[in-house]
Amino acid sequence: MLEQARHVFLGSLRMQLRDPLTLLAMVGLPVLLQPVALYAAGELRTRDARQGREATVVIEAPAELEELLLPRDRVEVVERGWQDPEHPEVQARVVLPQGDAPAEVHYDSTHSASGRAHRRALRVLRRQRRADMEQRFEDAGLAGRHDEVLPVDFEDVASTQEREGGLLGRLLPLMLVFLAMNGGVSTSLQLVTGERERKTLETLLTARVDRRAVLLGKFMVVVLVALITAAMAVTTLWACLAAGLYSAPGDAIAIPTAAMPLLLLLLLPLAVLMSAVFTVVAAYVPDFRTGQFAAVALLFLGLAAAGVAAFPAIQPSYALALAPVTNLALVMREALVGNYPVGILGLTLAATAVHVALALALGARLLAREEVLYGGGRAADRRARGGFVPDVLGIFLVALLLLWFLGQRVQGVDLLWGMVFTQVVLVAGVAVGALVWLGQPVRETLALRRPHSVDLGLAVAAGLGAPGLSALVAAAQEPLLPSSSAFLQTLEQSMTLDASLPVVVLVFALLPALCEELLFRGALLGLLRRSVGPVLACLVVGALFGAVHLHLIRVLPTGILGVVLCAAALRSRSLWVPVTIHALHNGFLVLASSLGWFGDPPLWVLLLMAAVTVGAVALVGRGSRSASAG
Amino acid sequence: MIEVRGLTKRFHSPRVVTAVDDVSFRCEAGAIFGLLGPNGAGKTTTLRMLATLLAPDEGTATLSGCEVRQDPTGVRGSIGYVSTTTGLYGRLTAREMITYFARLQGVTEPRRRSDELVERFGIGPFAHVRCDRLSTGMRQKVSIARAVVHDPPILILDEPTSGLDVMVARSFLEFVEQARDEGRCVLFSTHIMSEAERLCDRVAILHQGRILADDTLPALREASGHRYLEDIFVHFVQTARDEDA
Repeated sequence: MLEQARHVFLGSLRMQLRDPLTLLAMVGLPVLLQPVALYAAGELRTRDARQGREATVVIEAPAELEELLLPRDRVEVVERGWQDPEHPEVQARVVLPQGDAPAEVHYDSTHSASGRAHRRALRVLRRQRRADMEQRFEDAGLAGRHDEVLPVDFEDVASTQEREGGLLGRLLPLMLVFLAMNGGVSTSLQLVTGERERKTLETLLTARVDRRAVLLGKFMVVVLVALITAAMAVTTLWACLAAGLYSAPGDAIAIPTAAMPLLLLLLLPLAVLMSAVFTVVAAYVPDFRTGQFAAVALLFLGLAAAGVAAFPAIQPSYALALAPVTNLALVMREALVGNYPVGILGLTLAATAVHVALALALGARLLAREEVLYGGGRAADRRARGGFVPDVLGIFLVALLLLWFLGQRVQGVDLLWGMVFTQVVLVAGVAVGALVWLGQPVRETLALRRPHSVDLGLAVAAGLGAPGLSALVAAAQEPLLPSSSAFLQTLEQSMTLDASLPVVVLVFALLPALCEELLFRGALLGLLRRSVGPVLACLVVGALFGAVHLHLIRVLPTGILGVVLCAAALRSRSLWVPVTIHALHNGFLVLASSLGWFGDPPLWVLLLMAAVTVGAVALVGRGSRSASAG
Repeated sequence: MIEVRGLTKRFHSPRVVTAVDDVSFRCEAGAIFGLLGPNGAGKTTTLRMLATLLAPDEGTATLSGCEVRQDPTGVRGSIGYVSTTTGLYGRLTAREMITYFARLQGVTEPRRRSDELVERFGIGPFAHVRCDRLSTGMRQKVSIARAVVHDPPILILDEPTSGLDVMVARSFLEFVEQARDEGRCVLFSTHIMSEAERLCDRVAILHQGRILADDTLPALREASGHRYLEDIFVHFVQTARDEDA
C-alpha cells in the first residue's frame, strides 16, 4: 500500500506544483507578503516613535516656572498671552495661570498626535503639582515626599528586544497557523473535492490502488504544501529580522536561535493536523463551492484556537496541551521568548499525534462511502433540496455586520429605542428578508407552528433552568477567560434604564427572545438543516449564536445555550418552544439585574438548574410524537 | 469472463430507489456484450458495481475469477474502465498521464509501456501537451491508452462515444472491435442503437433497473419479430410496461 501511496503522492504533487494558486499560497504569500507586512509594521512603529518625540506642547506659564518646565518633555514654553491655537505644529496647549485658578489643557481628542501631546502635558502638570507640594511642605518645615501615601516608581526590566520578542511570540503563532492552513486548504480541496467534480477521482479509483493509499498519497501532498508554506514563513521571518527589515525603535529584534528549529519541529504536527482535517472536510463536502465555505469556517476556527496564545495571561498547561492547535500555538509562543517547557511540549506532540490519527481514521472511513465518491446519496439529496450552507453563512455575516456597525451606534444614541430597532429591523428583519430573498417558504422554514402543550410545559421548565446553565458554563471558563468586573458592570448598566420594569422586560427579554429565535432557530437552523445533519446544524448555529454576542467571555455560555435552543427547536418542530426558553432565560437575567439579585449562587444550584434545562429539552418532542403515533 | 448474478443496488435519497434490480448476465472473452437502455435505466450503476466503485446490495459479480466484494483489487487489476467523461488530469501531459497510471497499475516498466501506447494510438505529436489543452479526439485517445496501460483482459466502456464527433466515434469503435479481436471481453453500454447493432455479439436490454431481454441480435429479432434494434428495444420496453400495468 505504501508503494501505491508513493505513486499517488508523486503524481498529485506534480499536478499541484503546476497550479498557480498553490504556488501563490505556498511561496508568494510568505515570501512577498510577509516582508511587506513586517516592513510596514516596523515603519509604523518607527514613525510612531518619531512622532512621539516631535510632539509639540506649548506651555503658557508664569516666568518663574520656566526653569522647571524647560529642560524636560520636549515642550516649548512661550510667553504668557500667546494666542495662536490654530498654529499647525502645536498639538496641545497648557495654560498655567498664577494664583489658584485651575490649569487648562487644550487638545484635540480626535487626533492621535494631539492625544499623545495631551498625555505629555498631563505629565508636566503632575510634575509641577508635585513640585508645588514639595515647596509647600518645605515651607512648613516638612522635608521629603508627602504628596503620596505610598510613592511608587515603575521600572520595566525587560529589554526592548524581549518586549518585541514577546509581542512577536503572541502574534507569530497566529500568522504561522494561518499560512499553514492557507497552504493546505486549497490543495486539499483541489485534490479531493475538485477531482471528484472533474471525475478524475473515479478514474483513479478504478486503478489497482487501495483507497487508503489514495487518501494517504493525497494527504501527504497537502501536508507537504502546508509544511513548505509554514517553513517559508518562518525562514522569511528570520531573514527579514536578520536583514533589519523590521526596524523597531531601540535595540535590534532577534528570535532566539534555538527557537528556529523548534518552530519548524512544531510546524510539522501542525501542518499534519491541519492537512488531515482539511482532507477529511474535502472528502465530506458535496461540492467545491461548499468546500470553500467550509474552509473559511475552518480557517476562522483555527485562528480562534491559535489566538488563545495571544493572551499573555494564558500559560501553557498540561490541560491545554490536549487542546488541538491551541497547544501548538502556546508552545510556539514560549519558544519565541526562549522558554522551552519540555513536559508540556511532549504532551502537546503526543496529543497532536492522536488528533491526526483520529482525523485520518475518519477520512479513511469517509472515502470508503459511496456518497463521498460521487457526492451522491444523502449529500446529493440535501444539495438537490438546496445547498444552503453558503446562504446561512451569508445571512449571519450580514446580520453580524449590521449589529456591529449600526446596532451598537443606534443603541449608543438611545438604548431603549435602539434596542427595539436592532431587534426588529436588524435581527428579525434580516431573518424574514433573507427567506423572502431566497424564495423560501417563510412560515415553514421558521417553523411557526403551534407547539404541543407538553412541549410548552417542558420549555417553561427548561427556560427557568437556563440561566443556571449559562452561569455554570461561565464559571467553568473562568480560569481561562476571567470575566472582568468592568464588563459585568457594563452589562448591568446596559440593562438598567430609566423605564418601568414591564418595559425593560418587554424590550430586553421578550423582544430579543422572539427576534433572535426568528433569525437563529428560525431562518439559519431551518435553512442549514436542509443541507447538513441535525447535530452539525445545532453545533454550527449554536456557535454562530455565541459569536454574535460580540464579547469573548459570552461566546461559550451563549453558544452552549444556543445549541440547547437548537435541539429544542428541532425536537419540537416549533419555534415557540425555543422562544419560550429564551424569553424566560432573558427575563430571569433582566429581573435579577433590575432587582439587584446578582450574586454567586452555590454550585449545586447551578448544576440543578442546568440539569433541569438539559433534561427538559431531552424530553421535548416525545409527547407530541407519542400523541401523533397514538 | 464476466458473470453477474442477481445484482441489485438501491439508493436512499430520501425514498428508496432500486437503480439495478436483480440483474444477471454473462460475457465471454473475445466478445462484445452490449448493455442497451435509455438514460436512467441503470447501465452506469451496473458498470460502476462491476468496476468496484459502488458496492452491490445483493448478488454477485465475478470478473476474471475475482468477485467484486471479496477481491476488489483483483477486479480492478483485470479491467480497463472508460466512462463518458475522459477523467484526465488537466495538468499532466498525455505521456505523464499514461505513465502515472502505468505506475498505479503496477506495470513493471511504466516508461517503456507508455512509449508503446503513445506509438500505438498515435499520441506522439501531442505527447508533451498538457491534457487540458488537448482536443476531444486527442483526449479520447489518451483515455483509451490510460485504460489499457496494464493490458487488462476486460474492458468496461460506459457510453464512451457520448459527445464525440463522427470521426472520433468511428475511430473509437474500431478500437473496440480490435480489442475483441485481441481476445478481450468488452462490456459496452450505450443508448445509441446503431453502435450496438454494429458492435455487439450479444445485447441485454435494460429498463428501469431490470433486464428485459438478453440474447444475440438474431435471436432478439426472432423473439420480437422486428428487424432493427430500435424496434426490438421499443417492443420489449412496451411489453414490460403492459405487464406492469
